[in-house]
Amino acid sequence: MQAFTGLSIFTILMLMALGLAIVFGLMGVINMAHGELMAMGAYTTFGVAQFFKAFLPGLMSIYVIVGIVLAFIVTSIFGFLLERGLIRFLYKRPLDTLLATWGISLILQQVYRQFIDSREVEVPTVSWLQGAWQMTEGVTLPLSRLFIVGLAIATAFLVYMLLFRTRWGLRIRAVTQNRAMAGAAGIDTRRVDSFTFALGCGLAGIAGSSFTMLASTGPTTGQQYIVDTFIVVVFGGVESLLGTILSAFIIGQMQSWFEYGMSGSMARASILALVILVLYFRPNGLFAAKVRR
Amino acid sequence: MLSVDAINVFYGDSHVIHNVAFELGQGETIAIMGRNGMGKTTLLKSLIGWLPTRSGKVKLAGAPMDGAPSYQRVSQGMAFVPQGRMIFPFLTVEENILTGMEHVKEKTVPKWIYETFPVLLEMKHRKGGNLSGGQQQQLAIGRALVTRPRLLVLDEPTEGIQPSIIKDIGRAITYLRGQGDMAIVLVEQYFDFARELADSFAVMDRGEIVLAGTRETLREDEVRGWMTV
Ligand SMILES: Nc1ncnc2c1ncn2[C@@H]1O[C@H](COP(=O)(O)OP(=O)(O)OP(=O)(O)O)[C@@H](O)[C@H]1O
Ligand SMILES: [Mg+2]
Repeated sequence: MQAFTGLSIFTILMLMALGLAIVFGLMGVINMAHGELMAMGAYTTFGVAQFFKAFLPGLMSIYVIVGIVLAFIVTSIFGFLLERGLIRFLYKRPLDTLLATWGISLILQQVYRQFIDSREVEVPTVSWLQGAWQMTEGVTLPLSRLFIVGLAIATAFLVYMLLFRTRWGLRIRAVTQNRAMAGAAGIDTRRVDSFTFALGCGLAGIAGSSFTMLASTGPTTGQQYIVDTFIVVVFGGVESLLGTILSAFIIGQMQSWFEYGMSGSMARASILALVILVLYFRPNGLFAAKVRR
Repeated sequence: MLSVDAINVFYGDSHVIHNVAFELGQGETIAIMGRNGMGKTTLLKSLIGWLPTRSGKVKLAGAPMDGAPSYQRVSQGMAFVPQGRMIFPFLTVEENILTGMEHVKEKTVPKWIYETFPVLLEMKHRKGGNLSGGQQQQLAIGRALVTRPRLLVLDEPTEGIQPSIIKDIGRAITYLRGQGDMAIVLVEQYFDFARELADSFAVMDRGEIVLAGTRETLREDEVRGWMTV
């Protein structure tokens, strides 16, 4: 059971970390507002649920799907505009980017508080995700969590296909590996930046949408996840997406096991200590790539 | 094809290129020679748009290039093989070539690239970072040629490469130049290789062109004089 709780934390962490890692790998930009984008995805899903409840009650059972898709669309459009309007002016100044995105995150939190709700909001669980799957006597898995795990796996697979099987993926990988040379080979690096930033933000949106099925969403929901997401990215090694996924898995598992045995903050401190220990021996992360440069 | 008019290039405050000017016609090759640290690479970096020119003009086939990002220069017909090759280490050989195909109609690597450099076909699925220096150089040239350039810019393609592969590379360039009217800017310290390919020569010293001439007018011992310390 603990393993399964860990699994659903893992799915959120993984989706968040994938987005953050792709953007960081490509542009060296640490997006401090990534957590608030997750919250934006959650609020979008909440909005969709409200809309269906009010106008399309007969179709309530599919709001979840619409919510996921719309969460992705809304957050990626927001990400695109954020990149065009702000981030791209700060590429050569990582500290300024850090501050600017931190500012954005505070503004977004305030916007959520002011215009949505200062308390936490909840979405209804649709009928087909209620109930649980009885695996064996005594072990039951809630359907909603199974769904989230499936969604995360499907999303990770799509991201993999995008990165490794499409022309856009090739562009992203080329720019990540050598920005100047990618430009000199003919790739429009600015377009790649916008596209990738939007993609990363969209993944945070999907994470947020999944999150609504686990817990209620508040203005500071993103804050609770951003630190863990950073840890996942650093632990996995920023160059390796597979590393990011495995690292999200390990950290998600540790989180739920540790919390089972000790208090929440103690659990976090222990995880951090373990991660620092690992990074001491493998400074480039657990899964740093091994190819001659 | 290429017109460089009195350009000046800086790294921060340090003035590296001083009023460099030359003209290059369609299908012509110019060899730019000079000792280490004289500014050859810096000049090429400004041609491809990695470094801004502080003053002066660069035109490609009549179109001003000043301030244009690299990819626009490539779409206008410039291709670049940098010093140190700069292969994408985690992309396969095939993918490395595909990065050069943003502005051409074909969707897959054309056969003639593999015919020109058979070793690239053998290594098609290997990671670029795992190739030897000579193989990487051929890959870098393939990645540039696949753009079907009107102007090919090469920075010391023979550096650190064994003679037999240097010959292969020279033959490939001569052959491809014969196929169309590709102009070439060749930065080179290996005089014999440059002499085989170039129509004209320019020697750089401390960021200035100190000697220039054509194949016919230039005396070899003069060039060599500038090359020795
Ligand atoms: N990134 C840089 N920042 C500051 N100065 C630089 C930089 N790169 C090169 N220089 C300086 O500019 C001058 C010209 O360097 P450049 O690389 O253009 O020489 P080069 O002629 O290509 O030499 P080589 O034959 O060794 O490749 C040198 O004095 C070098 O120290
Ligand atoms: Mg050089």
